[in-house]
Amino acid sequence: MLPPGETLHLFGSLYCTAIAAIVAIRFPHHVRFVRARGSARRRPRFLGLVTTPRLGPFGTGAVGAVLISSLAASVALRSSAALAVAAVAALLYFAQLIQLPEVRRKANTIPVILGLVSLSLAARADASPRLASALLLLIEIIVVQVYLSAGLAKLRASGLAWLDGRTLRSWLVHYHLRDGNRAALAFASSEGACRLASFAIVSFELTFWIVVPFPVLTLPYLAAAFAFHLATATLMRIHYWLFFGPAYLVFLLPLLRRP
Amino acid sequence: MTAVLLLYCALVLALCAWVMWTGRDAWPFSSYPMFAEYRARPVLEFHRLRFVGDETEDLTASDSGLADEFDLRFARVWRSTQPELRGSACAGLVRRYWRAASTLRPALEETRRLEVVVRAAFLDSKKPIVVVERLVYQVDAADFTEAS
Repeated sequence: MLPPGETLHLFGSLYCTAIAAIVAIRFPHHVRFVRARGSARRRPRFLGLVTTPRLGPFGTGAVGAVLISSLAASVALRSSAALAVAAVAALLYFAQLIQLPEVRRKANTIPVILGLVSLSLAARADASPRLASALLLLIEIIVVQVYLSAGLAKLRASGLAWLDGRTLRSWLVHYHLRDGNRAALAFASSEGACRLASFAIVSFELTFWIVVPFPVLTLPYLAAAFAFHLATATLMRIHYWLFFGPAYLVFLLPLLRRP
Repeated sequence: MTAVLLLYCALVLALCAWVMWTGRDAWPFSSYPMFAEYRARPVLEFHRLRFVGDETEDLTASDSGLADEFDLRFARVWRSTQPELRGSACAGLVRRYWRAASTLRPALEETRRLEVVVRAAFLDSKKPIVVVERLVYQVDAADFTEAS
């Protein structure tokens, strides 16, 4: 297996490259979206305290360009300053797109992880195996808390009633009415399948965190996560992979062996 | 610098834990309450905005979030507006979403007629689930062009 320092360095490089590439590919759509709708009327408040500024199409395009170029510079130069700029640019950029379905909460982890990688570069964390391990662990926690939070939210709002399958069925029918997705309607037509899927979803969301203390379970849980996101993408047109997917590198890279 | 890094880590951990347990948002830290509310309505409806021209396309074709927003707003206008005022309220809404959709897909500027279709599903014990569709509102695009 790769040592923690090398894993952290590789994660930083690949994560930044992936985010830069995805933003670059989706950039024209994002700018068109802001032109069509204006910047989000209800822009998010940073840490619940400060409302993010409204940028408009030109400003959003400019910040997007800064985000892509600073990510590219950080990979090429291993510059923590470039990454810090990228983290701030990501906050401003995604705040303008918060109403876009492919963004919403799905891009939340990006500025947090970029900030972490930036500080780890500045502190030369990859030179210290213990510190590098701790940082990789924190990134894993950032990923798994998304699922744990979703599972807890279901229990908090609906209790065990969520497991009866009616809520999932109702949403599948909603997406059929919206998109005409026949697979969603076919799935919703089976109450048993909806009950089983509801149980599987809540179980997966509430237990995914177990891969952090027990890395031996990583592969089965990654397979479950893949199936989960494939299902939401196919049946509901919910694409978490785009902006959240690259964070999964933190689970995949430790599985690599040194050549 | 290591101290700053450790402080950042502690802050991130604390915020993650806080938003998760309280269900509150401190963006970019947030809880993830998607689909959490219990839903068991026997009838579900969705209002689709349809652009009729040489080809027919629905607002749902682009994954822009516009379709979901239009559904909610149209349903609200339909419910809360008196029948004699519905025409102008619906026209304003339809026009606004046509403009937004045309910015995303310029081909939609050639639309000749705009229709709002409500699709309803009945989730009672009958199998398979019954889905019906009916036209509730339509307007010629030329009416908008003349008005502007």
